[in-house]
Amino acid sequence: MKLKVIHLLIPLLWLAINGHAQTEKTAINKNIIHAEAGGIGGYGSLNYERMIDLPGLFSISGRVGAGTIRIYDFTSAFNPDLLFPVTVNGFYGKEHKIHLGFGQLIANTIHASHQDGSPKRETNLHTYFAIGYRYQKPSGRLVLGISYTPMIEFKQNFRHWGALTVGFAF
Amino acid sequence: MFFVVSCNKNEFDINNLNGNKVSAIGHGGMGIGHSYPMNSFEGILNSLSIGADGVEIDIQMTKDGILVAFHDGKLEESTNRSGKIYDKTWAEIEGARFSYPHYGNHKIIRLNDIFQNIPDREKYTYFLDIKSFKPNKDSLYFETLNNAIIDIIDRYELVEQVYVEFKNEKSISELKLIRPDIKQFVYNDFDYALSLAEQYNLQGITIAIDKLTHEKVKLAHSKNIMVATFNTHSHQRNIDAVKYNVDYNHTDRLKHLLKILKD
Repeated sequence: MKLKVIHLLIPLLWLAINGHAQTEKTAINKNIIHAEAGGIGGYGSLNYERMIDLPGLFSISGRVGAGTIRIYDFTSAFNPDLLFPVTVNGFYGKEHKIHLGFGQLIANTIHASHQDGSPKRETNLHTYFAIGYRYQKPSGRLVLGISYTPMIEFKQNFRHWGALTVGFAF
Repeated sequence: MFFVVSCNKNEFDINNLNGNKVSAIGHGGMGIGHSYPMNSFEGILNSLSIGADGVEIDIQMTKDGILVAFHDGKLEESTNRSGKIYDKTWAEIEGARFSYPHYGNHKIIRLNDIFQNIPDREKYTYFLDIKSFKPNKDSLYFETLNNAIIDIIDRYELVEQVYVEFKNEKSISELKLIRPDIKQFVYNDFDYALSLAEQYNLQGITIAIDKLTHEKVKLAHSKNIMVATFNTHSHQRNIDAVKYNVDYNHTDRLKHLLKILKD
């Protein structure tokens, strides 16, 4: 697994370093709506992200989102699991960016009580990290990303995971 | 040109030992591949809530004689704990969480908790697939296991609703000896299962769908032995199972089976 991650990251780093070295930074569209497959949302999430420029080719962003596992609970009643990712990200690069991030998922999910079988809601926090690559032209609308996104569930279980991102910048 | 393939109940001419009806049994609840883990309480309750006739539950016994719903030989195969059920007490297993889905928080449950909390439990059929991964099982093990099974069936008055599924002859004969009224299915290769069912006067045999034919089902029925099938993880296999006239289908595609039986 570690080797696979290294093999994935090396070309991304190369792209990021070579993609910006010969150009100067210009303003980018700072608001992004993106859909993420995998990632902190587990199977996916819809997100809003706000970019903030920093000196040089650095930028950071804050992101909030929403996702779910199921809409109906085990009794077939409308009772969705609610997932809210909140993350902070750092980027380096102009068009091809290295991406580092971390955050928390606020997960409000349904399970069956072992005492009486009824649906019970429970809120847990899960920790998330990201390292990857993002493509976003300074004046372009399209945002694409791929990341390795390991997570720690229930404060104890480490899980390898990944994410693909497609977004719209404005 | 597009063809829409459908299969309605009207197209089936069901003829079996189960009142000419194929009972839809949720395989471990909602089946393999569903977002509820196999044998989770949520999966079991979900299968019954959407209309299953019953549920198949994989059962293992802990070191201290507690029956728990769990399929795999090792906890690490599908939970956040490690080890084997038979090596651990219930206190050591309690709280073990299934690995999928993410953030699901579905935990291993005792059979007692399942029966205690299923609404109208007497309405449903239960297949208890007894899994014994413990090597070198002695007579004390069989005695403890049988006592645990008997205790729970009697406690919830489910002798009519429960079918106990064993794979080997020793288990079958031990339970049959002390409680002949508890209904049993045997799960094994067709010929061997059929011979055991005849020898011990069992209610039925459980055979994977890919090892089953219409003729085999007919043969079992001619000996007054019912047939349950599993590995029905596609629509086509559900249809095959119904066409074969099985009595019970432990399906992984429960919604589809319910639909074709209802239409």
